[in-house]
Amino acid sequence: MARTTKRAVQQFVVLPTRGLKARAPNSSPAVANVLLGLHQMLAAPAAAPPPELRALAKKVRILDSIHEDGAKLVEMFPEDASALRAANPGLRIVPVVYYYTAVAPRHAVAAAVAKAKAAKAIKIQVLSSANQSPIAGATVVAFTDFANKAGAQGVTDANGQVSLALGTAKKIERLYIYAECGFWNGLRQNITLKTGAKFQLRKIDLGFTDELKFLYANVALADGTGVTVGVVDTGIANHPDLTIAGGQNTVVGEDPSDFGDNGEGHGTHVGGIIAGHGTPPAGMRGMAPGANLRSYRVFGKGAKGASNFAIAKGVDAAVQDQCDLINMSLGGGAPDEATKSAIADARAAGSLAIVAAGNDGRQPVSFPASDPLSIAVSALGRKGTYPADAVEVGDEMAPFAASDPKDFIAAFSNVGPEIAFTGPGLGIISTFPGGYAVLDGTSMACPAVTGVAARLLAAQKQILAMPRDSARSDAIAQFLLQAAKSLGLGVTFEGRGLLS
Amino acid sequence: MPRFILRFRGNGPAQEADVNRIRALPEARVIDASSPRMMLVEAPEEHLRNAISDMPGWVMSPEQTIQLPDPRQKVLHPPEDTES
Repeated sequence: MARTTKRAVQQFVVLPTRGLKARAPNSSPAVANVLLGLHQMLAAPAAAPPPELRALAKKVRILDSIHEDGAKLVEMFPEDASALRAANPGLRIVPVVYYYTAVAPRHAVAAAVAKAKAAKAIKIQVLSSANQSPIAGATVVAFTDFANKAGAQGVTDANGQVSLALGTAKKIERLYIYAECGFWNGLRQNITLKTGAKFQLRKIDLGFTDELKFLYANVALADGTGVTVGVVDTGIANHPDLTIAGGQNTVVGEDPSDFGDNGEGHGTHVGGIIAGHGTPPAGMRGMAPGANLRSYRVFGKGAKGASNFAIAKGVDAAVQDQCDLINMSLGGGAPDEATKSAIADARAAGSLAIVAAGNDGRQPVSFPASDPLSIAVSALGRKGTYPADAVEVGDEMAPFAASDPKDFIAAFSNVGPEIAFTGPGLGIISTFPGGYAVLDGTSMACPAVTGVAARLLAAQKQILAMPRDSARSDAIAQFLLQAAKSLGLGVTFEGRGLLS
Repeated sequence: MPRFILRFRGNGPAQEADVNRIRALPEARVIDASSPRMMLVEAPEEHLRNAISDMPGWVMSPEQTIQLPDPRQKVLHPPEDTES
């Protein structure tokens, strides 16, 4: 069946990576030439554009210019902005944003919450499918109305039991069961829930072909050798499948040498996707097992939030340690100068920050992925790379790929013109403190892109040998952007596509 | 007292004179100055803004928290017809 895509012209600001004017040493002559050429096109629209900008001139309308070699306000299609970014990674291409007053939300659910607290509960049990043993610590989320996010949730006790404040027997649209680790998370749809119901979760089989293995089979242990990757995250735990070359804890008041996992497991999962060196079915293999993996812990012990100070300091430390790629599977705060500056300074020192787009469900790309110097990553899903009763089924959503309709952008993924790549982020098996876990998110797609980037970059000795400056990071970005292949999902969903 | 990040964006490490000036501000407490180009400072915002307005190359932003992106589903409301 034919597919139609609605295209809309958008406004962008095109400017150098640092400052508003293209001046050495922060900008290359190529960047200055593009901006000067665009200025000529605005000043003399009837004149022929410079030869190197003839193709671009047909696709872009120049609306304003700050200076001859300065920022330009332009109109173009997002696809053309993506192509311009790929051809000129030394340019920042920023979507024009309009700000509005923030109206405080009305709080109308307090009475309903109090009523629910007094409600009768339905008690259910969660068990392992392997041996029927109870699973403790699993989060059970039952939606009576999924669209409005109405329902009840709780955490299983040592007997695998949880009480849900739903009243008596209740029709449930979706029942999500999230284990801490060791199991696929479960989804049941359109069921009637009664006390005494039992639900089973599947144990993780490291031989299972998840999305990572499906897309990137046959990774050799030496892949990624010669490339250093920094993971700015919750820290990376000691694990048989991981070798951590070093790092730093940048959380104020904590031991700088304690860059192991903070208890969340997130950074350990990310680290495994990049550089796990196990061999299935006994272990887990990442995308660049030979890469030099470094851990920068920016989340305090047990914390789910990180200070922008710790993040900026972590990025600085990764640059100091000569990381070629910096993985940042975090985001969601308001744009701030400290993080922006750290990413810009990394770029000026030859390092590239690869950042998760966020998991707010088709919302705009979150900060710092939205920063023009970040490489933003959306999450790709693929039908058939997770069990039929796993939570991942609930994140299947259009658009489906023109190249293969089993591929889609996960429902939770943020999208927008800042997306540079998409990567596997649904049902990803990776290392976790004490074992293995399946996680979903742009947090997983991001290290998949980082790991594949490290693998590809390892063969680019000329780029790796360049002096550590903005020309080097521009060369890395350009090489990667040109190595991606479109899946036909549209640039706001997949950017340049999938690295392969 | 609010906390702010001061970051030097000029060439090379931050000037010691600038750092000392921040340290000497009234009601200011430097929490972390272990980074060569950045400080975490607890101080009234106006004092800091006035100080860096004539310190070229410095930028300032409030300390804030960034979350791990979490795709797990969460209940936002109890069911409307819950029986007591």
